[in-house]
Amino acid sequence: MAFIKPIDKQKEADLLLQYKSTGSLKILGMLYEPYMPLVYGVCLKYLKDESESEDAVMHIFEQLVTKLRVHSVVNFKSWLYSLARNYCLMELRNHNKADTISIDENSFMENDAFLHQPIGEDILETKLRLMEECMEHLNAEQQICVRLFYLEQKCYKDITTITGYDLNSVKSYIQNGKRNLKICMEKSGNG
Amino acid sequence: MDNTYNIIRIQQYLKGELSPEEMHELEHEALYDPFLNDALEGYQYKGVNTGKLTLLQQRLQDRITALPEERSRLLFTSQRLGIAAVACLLFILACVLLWMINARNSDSAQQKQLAIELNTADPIPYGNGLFIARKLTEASASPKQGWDNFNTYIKKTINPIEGKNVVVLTFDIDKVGKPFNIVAKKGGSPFIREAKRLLEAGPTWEENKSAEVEFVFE
Repeated sequence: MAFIKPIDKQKEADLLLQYKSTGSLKILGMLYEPYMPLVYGVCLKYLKDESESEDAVMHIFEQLVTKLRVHSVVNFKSWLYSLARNYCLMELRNHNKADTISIDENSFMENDAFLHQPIGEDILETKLRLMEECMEHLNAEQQICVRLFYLEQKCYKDITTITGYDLNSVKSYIQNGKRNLKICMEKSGNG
Repeated sequence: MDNTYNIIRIQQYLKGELSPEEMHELEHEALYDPFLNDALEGYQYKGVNTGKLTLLQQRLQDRITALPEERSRLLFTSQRLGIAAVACLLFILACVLLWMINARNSDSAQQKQLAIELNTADPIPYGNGLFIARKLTEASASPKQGWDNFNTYIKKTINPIEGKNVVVLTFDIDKVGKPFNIVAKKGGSPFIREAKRLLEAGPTWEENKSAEVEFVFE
């Protein structure tokens, strides 16, 4: 399911431990290389400059060299994402480019724990009913987009064609709709 | 590696080459994976440049291999340091040896010089220093058997005279080396007489036609 499967999680954890004890750059390279295209993409998003992003990818690697010897990292991928993103934001702050960037942009992101919570069969039906109820509370645009994306499994492009909304709006309706749905279900579930 | 496949998938997605199902799948993944989502947005902005990514991988590989090289260079430096240290030590040893040899040579040179002085310059006092016969000028003739033997001869044949005196005699040397025309330049008369007697009865002379010799009576 996960998009990046460079090395399985266990192997990654082993490599992290090995690097922490040996400090071998070869091992660190094995850890970092699979994520490099993603890091580069993230840097492109924030820095909006190819050569700056290339340098950033290397600088982030340099940070890993020291930080990974000190910190015990459990989830390398999300840790690396935070590191890369923070690095870029710091760079922007240094260049006074940060005005146009909203830090809250990605606040819709869910954590893995919630998403992969196992749902027992007996509560599945309750959950589904709850979801239907909560769907009603979403605004029209969010409702349409969430339905199309999650229930009918349409891609963004198809949704824009069907609804006539532009791509960015579709994305944000889905993200916000998903967040609202989650809040609503948690509230109802607890209440 | 998978990342090649992944980046190709992103590239295909951005170019619209994926099927709607595949696109949905990727979008769904991105929705739960902020890392992928940000990267996708970044590539949406600039497009996927696989050449740049390859260069980046190369840079990473260079960086990874840079340190061992540095280490080996350091190792090499320490090896060189060792070699340099040994070379220095050998050089110092060689210097010490040379110095020792030189010192010995100069000792023997000094000894030689001393010997030369003994042979050519004024003879040292003979025996306990009672009798000294020596030439006063460089051009003076010398006894044929040398000054040492001459002094030995004096010691053996002298008639002791009481008192101290210094006698200086000049004389010429004849064809066979015998002194003649002996003239006293300095000294008391008994001493001059004795000195003359010693000269006349003494060995033959060589090196020059005339001589100026000093006799010290103590």
